[in-house]
Amino acid sequence: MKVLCVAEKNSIAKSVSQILGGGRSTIRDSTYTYVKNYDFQYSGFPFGNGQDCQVTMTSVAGHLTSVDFRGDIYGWGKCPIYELFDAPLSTEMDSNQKKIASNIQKEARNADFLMIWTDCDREGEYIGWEILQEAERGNRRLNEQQVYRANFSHLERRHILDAARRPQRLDMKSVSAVRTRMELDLRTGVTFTRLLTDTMKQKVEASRLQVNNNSNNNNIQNNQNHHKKKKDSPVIVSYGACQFPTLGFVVDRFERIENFVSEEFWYIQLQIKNADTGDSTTFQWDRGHLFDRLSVLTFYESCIETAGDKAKVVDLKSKPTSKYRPLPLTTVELQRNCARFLRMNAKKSLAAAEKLYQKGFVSYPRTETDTFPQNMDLKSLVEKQAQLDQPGNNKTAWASYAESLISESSSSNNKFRFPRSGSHDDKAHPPIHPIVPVSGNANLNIDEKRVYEYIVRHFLACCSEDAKGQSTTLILDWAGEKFSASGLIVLERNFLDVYPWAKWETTKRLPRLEMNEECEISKADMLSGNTSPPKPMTESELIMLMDANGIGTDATIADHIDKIQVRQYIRSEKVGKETFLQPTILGVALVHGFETIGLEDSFAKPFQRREMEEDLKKICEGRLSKEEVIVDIVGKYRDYWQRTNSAKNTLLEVFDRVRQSMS
Amino acid sequence: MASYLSSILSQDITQDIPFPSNLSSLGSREQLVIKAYKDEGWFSNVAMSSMVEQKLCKVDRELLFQVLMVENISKSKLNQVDEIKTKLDPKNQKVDTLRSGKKAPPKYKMVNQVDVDEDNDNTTNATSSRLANNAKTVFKFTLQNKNGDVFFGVNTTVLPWSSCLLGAKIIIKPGTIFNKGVFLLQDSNVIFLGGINKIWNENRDYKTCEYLEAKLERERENTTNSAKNKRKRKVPPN
Repeated sequence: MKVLCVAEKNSIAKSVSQILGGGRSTIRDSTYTYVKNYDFQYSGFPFGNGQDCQVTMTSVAGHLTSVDFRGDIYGWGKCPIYELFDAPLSTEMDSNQKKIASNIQKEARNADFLMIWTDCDREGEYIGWEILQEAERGNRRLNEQQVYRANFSHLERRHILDAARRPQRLDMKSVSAVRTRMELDLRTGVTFTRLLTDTMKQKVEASRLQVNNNSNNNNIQNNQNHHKKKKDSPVIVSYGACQFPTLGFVVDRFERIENFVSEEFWYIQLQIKNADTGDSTTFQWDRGHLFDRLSVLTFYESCIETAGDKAKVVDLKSKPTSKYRPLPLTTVELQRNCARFLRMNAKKSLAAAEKLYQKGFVSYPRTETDTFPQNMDLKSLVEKQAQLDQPGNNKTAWASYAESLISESSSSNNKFRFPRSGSHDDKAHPPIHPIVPVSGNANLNIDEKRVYEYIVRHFLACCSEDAKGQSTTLILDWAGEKFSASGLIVLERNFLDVYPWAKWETTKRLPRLEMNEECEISKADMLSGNTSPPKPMTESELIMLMDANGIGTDATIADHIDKIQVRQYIRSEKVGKETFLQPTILGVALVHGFETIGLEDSFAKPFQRREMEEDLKKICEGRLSKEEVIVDIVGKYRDYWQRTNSAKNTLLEVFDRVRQSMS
Repeated sequence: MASYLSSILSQDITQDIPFPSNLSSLGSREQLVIKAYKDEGWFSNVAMSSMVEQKLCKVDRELLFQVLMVENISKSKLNQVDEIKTKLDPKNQKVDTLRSGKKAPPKYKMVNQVDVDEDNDNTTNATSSRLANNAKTVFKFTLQNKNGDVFFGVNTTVLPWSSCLLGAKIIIKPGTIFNKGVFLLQDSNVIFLGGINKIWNENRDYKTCEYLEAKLERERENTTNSAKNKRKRKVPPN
């Protein structure tokens, strides 16, 4: 019996064949350099009835096809743009994809069964369907009863063996949803990109030329030799249904700062001398800051006149408190924290995590799940990180921490604990976690090493005890107004020892006061301050906003951010240790251009895209069909396109206006 | 009989309101309202300068006022303008924070799943702290009596009527503290009568927004001027 298995990448095919073949697979070249065919025997497939099957495991390299319009009829300038809303789509393959497809056809020719091993997400389901098309072309005898789909999320041996023993079927509803998304992205992207580029190209080029000339003039003055600037790549003003809302977030923050008005506020603050230490403790007013001087003055004078310098302790609470260990790691959290803690951008951190997954060091890094299945053996993963079989000088910096978590003899209270459960579960993959420890000679680049360390430390923190402390809150009553001060003593650091990015420190000691005790106020001040503007957008914040509002997926968020930087809609700006994202003139002009036309909610705001994502979910659930969603959304975009086309001058006027105000 | 009370509640009390000569036939609440209306106004014969200098005194009789304006002084004006604009024009709301869109209709609600700065710390509980914050919110009321004199009031306790319609009437009871033109209002020393002035409430969100924006513009000018003055001071003397 012959079985053809096809993975999404060669690295996965290699790892899976090694596991299923028990290390006895032979390797053959395919028609494409980066795809290999692995042959081995395996008897664990349920459809093989316990018999040895002759297995060939191969792979694709991501998508096997792309959807496009026929270039000879619908290429740029060859047809009226609006025709593209209805033009037929063609499935295209580049030369490499053709080579891969031909390998699948060839390998499928004599296969009795096909088993898809693509990543278990919507996109992987679609790639699985693309593989099936090619396999059927090579072998007309294959029918849907002979096609299976492996459900796996990492490359750990037992998990892969289990996936082979319990195959499922391709989910055609997910395939439909991806097909819908691809068609919509193509039709809306191409129509609006052509319209925007044709309309704005000259103006944007002229503006950039002017900026370059100015900059060259300055350079000439400084250094005659440096006057030649690199020629800019041709201007493409692209539209993407995720790119624009991503840009919108950045522009909104930029303008919030531009339009910020600092407001004065007033507040009352008390100081009480600590008899033991001689230090003063500041008590903050429960009402916080008020934006009206007269009102605060009324409170202040009323308190002084009524109670003088005496306040009374009305509440004294001392209670155990905890700093929670982090929730299990999702892709978005990984990207956000690598940006915050490691100063590594989202694209880089996801790429590093992907490589770590392909090399077998970590689980599948694209996941929305922040809950580990209760039956998952996490303790053995902690044990692997303890590297008990390694000599001391060969161990990682966190090995001894992992060892103490699982050691029976350790006197520490910080023992292995099953991680907390979050509220998200994509039903496909567990949270990101390490699979095997890195050895000293592991073939990892610097980014991969840093991301790996972050993943392991996060995982070990998840499997640790919360940090424990004692918090004390003292509340004083001064003529009816409440003032409070809090103190914290950290008693057990626990997970904080392996997770240096979380800060939780013991604070200054509070004065020793009893309940109902009257105390003397050493200082009562009415103070004022001013509000300050928010900081520009950071990548970490942008990722969070995109994720929360359904712009892109965990896998594509980094690409969208990168794309609008390449298109010069935003640029990154380094200030000290922080990197901020700022919009360019073109970025602001596009947002305001569509706003002036009256299409603000459909373009630079997240609402339209979110609606589409909800529709795609409904396709996956069988509540809507692909056709229904396409007709509805293409209809809307056709209308937007006509409105934009008849208001092209508005876009240009807005560009001039923005350039003038931002230059 | 109730018509006397309703005539007060629905009118601008700076206008003349006719009353029956015989009050004994009215209910006790109506009698109280009419008495408060008829009484001499608070600081009625005193110069404005003395009134605003008056430190901490107690109200000695029932005082009737109509509410001209209610301002939330716990929240910055910029935030309030943002909220009102989101309510009036949700499509154009700013979307750059996870706090955005709270006042927007469902279609335009921004998703708020994560707290930007709170790092999973069980010492804070979002819901209870929000409720506590509401309890601490301070409103500044602009109050007017029948003589047209204007005073302010701030709440020291939660007032269930703080989101009242403009033109609503209140009676401030004896014992209330008054300091430099401001009454310190507690729920127990104010009787809320209700009422409305329809014209004042027309397009109230727009009016409030314009008012707040005008105040912000003044703050902006002040900041610019003070920056200019600072720059001037930096010039060394000749």
